[in-house]
Amino acid sequence: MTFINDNNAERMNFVELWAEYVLNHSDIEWSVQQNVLINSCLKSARMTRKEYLAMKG
Amino acid sequence: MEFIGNTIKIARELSELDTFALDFINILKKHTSYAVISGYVSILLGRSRASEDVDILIPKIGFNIFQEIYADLKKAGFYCINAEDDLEVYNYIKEKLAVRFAKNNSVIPNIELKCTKNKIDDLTLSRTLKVMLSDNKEIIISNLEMQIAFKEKILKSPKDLEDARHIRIVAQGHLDKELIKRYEVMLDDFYK
Repeated sequence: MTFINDNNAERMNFVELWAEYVLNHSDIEWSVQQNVLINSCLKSARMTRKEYLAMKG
Repeated sequence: MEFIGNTIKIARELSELDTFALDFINILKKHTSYAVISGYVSILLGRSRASEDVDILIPKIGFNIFQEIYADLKKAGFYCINAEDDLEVYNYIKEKLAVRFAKNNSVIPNIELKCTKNKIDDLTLSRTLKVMLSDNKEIIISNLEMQIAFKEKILKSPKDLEDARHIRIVAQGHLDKELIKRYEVMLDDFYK
């Protein structure tokens, strides 16, 4: 449980750090960085319709 | 990011997910009101995560309206992942199930479309915010207080708690904290 709790706390720390960055920088500055993550995730997520529906239950 | 009354202005670079959502919304809004809900709301507001889907809530609609929406979606290169036949897809929605739409030959990203099914959904759809993006593009989202309350009180997964925390920080000074508390009581009572 400690590992999971520690991991969740670490994640939340970064969420707060990033949200402060968004708050204190221009929309272009944060969105360009956010889009690196979003666009690459979408590119790498390739699956068939059947696989997707099975995953979603 | 600028909060002006019921509008949030975001001069952000659009992601592929934003462009996909806007393509769908530009068709949907010709036929019905809607509100984007759940994870994509926090992503639109800058959360550092991706999502394979965009959740959209619409009011209950009749078969004729649905046929018009689906015909326009097909013309624009969308298809329904769950089923193909108009009536079959409509029956999913009518039975209060969500249906997913993606661009032809893909499954990700997709739109999860659902009709209102209870008083919480009705409330969500009745209190919305407009997000103004560049080039006069706009997306209607659920009010942030409901998003926060739902994620913190009902969903509670680490991802949802992080989404709520992100919104609380980027929208600080623009949130009605008493309203969040009232929503939490209402949600607790409804889902207990």
